[in-house]
Amino acid sequence: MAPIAQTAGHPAMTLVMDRRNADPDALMARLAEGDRSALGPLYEALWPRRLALAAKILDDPSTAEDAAQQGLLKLVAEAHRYDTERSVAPWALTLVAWECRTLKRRQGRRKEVALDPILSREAGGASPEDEAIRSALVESAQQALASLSPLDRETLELAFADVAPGERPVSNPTFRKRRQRALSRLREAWRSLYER
Amino acid sequence: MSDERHLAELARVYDRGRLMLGLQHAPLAAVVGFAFFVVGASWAWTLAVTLLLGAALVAAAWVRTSALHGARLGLLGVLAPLVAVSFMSVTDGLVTMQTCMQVCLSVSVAGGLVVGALGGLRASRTHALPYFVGFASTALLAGSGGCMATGVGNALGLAVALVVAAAPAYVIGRMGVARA
Repeated sequence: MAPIAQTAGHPAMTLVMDRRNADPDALMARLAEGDRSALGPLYEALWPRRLALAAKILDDPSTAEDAAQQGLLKLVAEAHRYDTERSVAPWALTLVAWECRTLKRRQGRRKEVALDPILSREAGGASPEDEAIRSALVESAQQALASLSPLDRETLELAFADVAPGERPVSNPTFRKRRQRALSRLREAWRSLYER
Repeated sequence: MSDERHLAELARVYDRGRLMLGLQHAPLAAVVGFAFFVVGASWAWTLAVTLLLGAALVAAAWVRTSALHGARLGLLGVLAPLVAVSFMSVTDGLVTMQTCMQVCLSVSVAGGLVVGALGGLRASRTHALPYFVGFASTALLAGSGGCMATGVGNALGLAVALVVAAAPAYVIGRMGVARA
């Protein structure tokens, strides 16, 4: 067998090493263990697709960049919780999609505040009662989502974020089943909240 | 924002996360310190050992997650004999000092064997070196602190039992991992 020093310089070996170094799961496992040198390669491996997803959801490129960065910041802050049995890509996608939604909601609120309520009412906009009902509904929806398991939430995030099939952690049929189950659980949770 | 700035921000947040992880585990050191105090250690001694153990936990979390897991188990291993001695000192009127020392030694050895075996097995499934370093540093630090309260014999019994149980458990664990 050739000594390690010889095989290490071999082009095929370099290619294998490069691929292993670029594997986001392996990099995330190293980061979870406390290896700070994995941060740069992990950023390079995750950033382009997260940014593309954020740009797809949000219209403004700078807001999309903010959302992608916020998602990655959350991922890195919670790196020690990473389960090495699972893939990091859906987790990162979920966080970025969540950030996009939060930013969208915040932007929406800002627009609502900027509108003059009287003008809005005259133009046939929602009355304060309608607004109160709407915010109660949103709150209930958030409660229903919070009562789901992390897997169900992740599945719904991936479904609503319109993530490409290649980016998903499981095959298409499995994903469809998971989505169906998650939606029926969401319906049940919603019903229990509504009846309450 | 440039890639360098993104990376610098990520590194800052990551470091803060590691620090927070260590600080979340620091109360464990206070529990051990409290046990020292209950068995009769002075305020100064209790405070010094607690601070040292807390610093060891934070340092372990900063360096490696497996070192933190090892340190956590090491502390729990030392806690068992300390709790036994605490119990004996509370029920001092019911048992003689000789009985207390005999029971404490047995508990120290038994605790060391159990925790050592657990540590050895766990280390065989993770990054062994940082795990052992974390495990041994807190176990020995708390064990030597415990000498003041529980006697050198108990601490020595604990240390020997830890090593005796950890070594074969690690070898068996590695064999299992290799077979899998």
